[in-house]
Amino acid sequence: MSADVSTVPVAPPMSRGRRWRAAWRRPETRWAYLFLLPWILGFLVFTAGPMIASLVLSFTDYDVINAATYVGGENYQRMVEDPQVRTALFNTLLYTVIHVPLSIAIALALAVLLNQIGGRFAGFFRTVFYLPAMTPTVAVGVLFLLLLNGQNGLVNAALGVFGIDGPAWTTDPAWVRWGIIIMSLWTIGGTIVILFAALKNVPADLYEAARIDGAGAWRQFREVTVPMISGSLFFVIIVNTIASLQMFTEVYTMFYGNAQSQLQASDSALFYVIYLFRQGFQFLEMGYASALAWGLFVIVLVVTLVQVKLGDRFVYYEGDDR
Amino acid sequence: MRKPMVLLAGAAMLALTACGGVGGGDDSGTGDDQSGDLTADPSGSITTIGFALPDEIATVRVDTFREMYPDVEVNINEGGFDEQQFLTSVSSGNPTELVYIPGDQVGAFAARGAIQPLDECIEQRDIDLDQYRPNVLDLVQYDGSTYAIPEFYNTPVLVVNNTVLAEAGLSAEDIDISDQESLVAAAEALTVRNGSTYERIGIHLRLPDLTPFYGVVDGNPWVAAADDFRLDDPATVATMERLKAVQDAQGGHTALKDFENTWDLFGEGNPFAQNQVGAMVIEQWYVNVLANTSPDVDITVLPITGAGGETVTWATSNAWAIPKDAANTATSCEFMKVMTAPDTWAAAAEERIRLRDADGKAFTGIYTANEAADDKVFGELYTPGTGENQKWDDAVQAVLEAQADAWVVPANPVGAQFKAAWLEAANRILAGTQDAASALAEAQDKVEQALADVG
Repeated sequence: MSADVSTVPVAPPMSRGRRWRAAWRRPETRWAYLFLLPWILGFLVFTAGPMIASLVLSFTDYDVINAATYVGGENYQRMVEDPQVRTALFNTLLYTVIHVPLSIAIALALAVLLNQIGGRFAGFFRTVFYLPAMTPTVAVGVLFLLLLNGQNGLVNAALGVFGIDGPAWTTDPAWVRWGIIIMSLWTIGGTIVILFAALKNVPADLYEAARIDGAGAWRQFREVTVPMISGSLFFVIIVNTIASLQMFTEVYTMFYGNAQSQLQASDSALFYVIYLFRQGFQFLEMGYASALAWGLFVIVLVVTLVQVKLGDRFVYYEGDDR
Repeated sequence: MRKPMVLLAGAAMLALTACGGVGGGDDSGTGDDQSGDLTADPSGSITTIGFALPDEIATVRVDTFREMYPDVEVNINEGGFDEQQFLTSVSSGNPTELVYIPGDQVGAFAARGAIQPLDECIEQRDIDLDQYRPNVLDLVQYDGSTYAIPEFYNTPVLVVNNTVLAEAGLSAEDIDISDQESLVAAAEALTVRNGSTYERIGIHLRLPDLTPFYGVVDGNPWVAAADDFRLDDPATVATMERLKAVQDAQGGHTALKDFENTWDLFGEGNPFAQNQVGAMVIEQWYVNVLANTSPDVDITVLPITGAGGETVTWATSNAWAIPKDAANTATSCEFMKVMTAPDTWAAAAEERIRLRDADGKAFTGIYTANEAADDKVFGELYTPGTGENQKWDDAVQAVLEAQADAWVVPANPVGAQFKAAWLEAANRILAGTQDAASALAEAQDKVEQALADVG
């Protein structure tokens, strides 16, 4: 029997080109590409095109009005030597390092709570937790200027209940970064929804088996829940990290959006993309701003690569051996 | 391998979403001269950005133009000046016909050719530049050409809350901005706070936005010429150190700023009505605000004096300009002329007088960059208040006195960088995170670097 099997001729594997041609002959493949075409065109025109343009501009002196002149790697050299780039990078990285784990931890805790709620109020609470994420980011910036005011803001009023004399969150350079981090927690609704969906997909029999084996609530969470939602956790870590490194709208609204708000901008509120934006549109240094953008691209790429490498060790995907 | 690649591609896309450049632009250097027949009758349509219609002073003037030229379609895109909006419109070759810009940015846009020189427009449409205040023209003239037509003439004055000062046993004459010892003493005496919670700022110097003005008060303007900045001058350092001392005497700059952010500056609950301030240095337009929202408030307005007792002030203004490659320049020129003409300002003033009269409130003037317009308003239309309104007339006279010989930052190619540099330095100094000498030296380096980059 085994001899018969070994003599069955095996078709040689098709080359990639042949596979592609074979797939293209199928009508559903052509339809799929047809439906993808608007996105592909949009990507080429509105994303890839500006990306290539910004790469070219990063090697030029370009003031937005007049033709760009080639300056080689001057903008990149300036970027390395610019102390404000270091300040902006420090603020951005510090924010990312604190915001990402904090926001995911809180989102996970709230998602676990939502997962416990059943009955008629389940939908209500899910909606309530997601609603802040729908607030326009500019409105969030303005709202938190009021909430974080050191004199009559609600945050300090709440601290006052516990006898704590709250700081000047929006004007004291020592506290501005912390105020921004507090503000950033307002919009974790998206992360809550993703983690909540992941929690819903954890098979109940795993918890039952764990209980039979004597696992308590914490052990179940650690040994069952976290591994089973690790794919979603990994996703929100990646996405939130990139978003944090690109933090712009809320902080710009609070500290740079108009002549009045700029009056209270301190070094603590200088985030990388804000510095980039100011160079391009306020100081008419679009070549330098483009170099800064590519600097951020490299940073995001490296950070994401490290996260992916680490993720391979810790993330469980359904169907994987681990 | 595929999974990481997909994630990396996604990361790349997200990272670069904010990196796109804008259109090409040609190499026109310092701006195109105007083309076409600038003497032609206004026609077609014009669109403005950076200008709003918040009150009758704006709407009456626009309506005046519309009545003069009913066939011209005037579109006012209301809102503050937005650099990104303006620059992308110019860069893409699709600018609006007119832009309303802060005076301190005229030089930078002129140097880069983002706005057109108006010399031909001024000549062919008979715009009489002699009407305009010479010092304000310094804001809008760059490299021998006029690039914008200025509108208002904003100068700081000292507004004293008599109620608060009387409680402290002081009078308006006791507040001397140039005398550090008495200023600190008055600031301390007038400030009321309970721990870190404020009820009143004693002397509100409106820092950091008016910071350069105190250089003028101390006899040391921070800019001597378009390419001569003096941020690292020892006198500038001394000015900043004394300003910090005044803020510290009242509890510190950051706490003061926090309290200021709670004020309803333009409403009926303004800091004078609420006795939240003892005295404030602020531009003259605030007198108009108070006369309208708090006609009963007990204030005294004084010009600010230097150490020698002489009146000192600085002036800022916004101005109309024509973007590079803008169409319909003849109509735009006429619009600028009409909007800033004495008769137009007078029409706006008459409407305000009518509205204030109807409410039983005092008219406290409008203050423009056009001296002929101001002469017309104050010579022919303004009626000094009597009785309870005497205080408003005193205020008007103080503002007019303060306006003489105001200093302006000369038009220069690095206006935005200069402002950013001194603002950052001032915030660090006032917050106590950096000493004045090193912060100002860094600021000076930044401005000089920006000048070198512009060439």
